[in-house]
Amino acid sequence: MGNEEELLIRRAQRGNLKAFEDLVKRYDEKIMRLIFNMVSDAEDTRDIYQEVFLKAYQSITNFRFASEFYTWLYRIAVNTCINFRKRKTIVQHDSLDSYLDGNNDNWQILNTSEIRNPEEQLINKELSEQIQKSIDRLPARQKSVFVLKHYHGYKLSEIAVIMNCSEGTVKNYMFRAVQKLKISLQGYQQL
Amino acid sequence: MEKCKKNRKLIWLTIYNELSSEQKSQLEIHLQACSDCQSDYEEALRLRRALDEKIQVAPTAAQLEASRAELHQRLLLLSQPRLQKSWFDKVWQIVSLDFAPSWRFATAVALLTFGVLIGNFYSRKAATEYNFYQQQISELLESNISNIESVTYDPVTRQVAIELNTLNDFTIQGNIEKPEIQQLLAHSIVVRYQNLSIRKKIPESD
Ligand SMILES: [Zn+2]
Repeated sequence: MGNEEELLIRRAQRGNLKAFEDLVKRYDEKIMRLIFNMVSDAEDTRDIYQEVFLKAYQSITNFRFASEFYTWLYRIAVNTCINFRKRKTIVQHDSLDSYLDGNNDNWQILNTSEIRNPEEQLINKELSEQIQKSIDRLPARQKSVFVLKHYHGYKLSEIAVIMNCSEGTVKNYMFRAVQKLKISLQGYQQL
Repeated sequence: MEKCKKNRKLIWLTIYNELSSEQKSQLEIHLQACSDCQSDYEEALRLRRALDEKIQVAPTAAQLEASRAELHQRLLLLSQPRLQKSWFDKVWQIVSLDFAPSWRFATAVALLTFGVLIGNFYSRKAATEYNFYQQQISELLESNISNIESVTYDPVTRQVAIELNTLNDFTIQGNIEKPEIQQLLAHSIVVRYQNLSIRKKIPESD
């Protein structure tokens, strides 16, 4: 953690709103992507974003500098996503179409480096939806570990801090998650 | 074949670059000698590539700006949640009507903000007293604000009951004039605006 960040945290802990909002700006883009990967719904993502940072604001005095600040923040985000899913009775996802047409002001697609023809795009969309469904079927903690590792590139040791468990446990969650994904995506691996 | 079972995990760890160079070279030696593990490895690589194909979505600058602005409003309320009782009555009358959730929140925020300003002006003398409620509130906030299930307000006795969804149904009750109760109400409305059930007790007629 840099000196500047530590200073911001200490000022936020004394109730400085501006300092807290500066911290938010450092992490909220990544946190929002994480939430989206966990719940796959734009409106839910916006709601959870609010809940995560309000919780962070309310409990920032509990941050003791024992870990990196982002792991503390990510832990709040992961737990909020898990609890959100528990209290939501009907789970529905946005169709990817609303992001693919290029007219969405709020969300953009990150991995479109290679130009695709319409046919390839359709296959890609179907695959993406199939992967999303498969990830959604994973138990909450396996899903969290998998998303943090595969789509956010964190080290297993960092994920262990975020999830507040041992690295061995994280490895087990990860292994079980990929085994399940392998089975549910069997037809798609030939691509 | 006990060794191969262990390798299944190592294969995934090497796919995600989580092996030490020593472990990595040991695995490579085994893969060259064992065709079962070699095909496992190739299958894992294919799965990883398929998973990489998933479309990744990120918020635009406009979305981030909008979310930050909304958060800013909520943070302002949380940092100054002292309210005048009369303003709470007005907030209550309006939020208990059947507005769409988004409208309900916008209205509540507008009134709360106004209430905070008025409240600050008139009630500077009401210094925070550390009592039962203060402790309950900080414990609640530490655990999980989304445990708040419902809020019931009785306009006759001016009693507010805040019901928590915990293992042993817990309710915090108090007079609306108590700053701690007002603080908790502000928290409830600000954080749980969409799923919060707000009820107003209808006075029994004689
Ligand atoms: Zn083998």
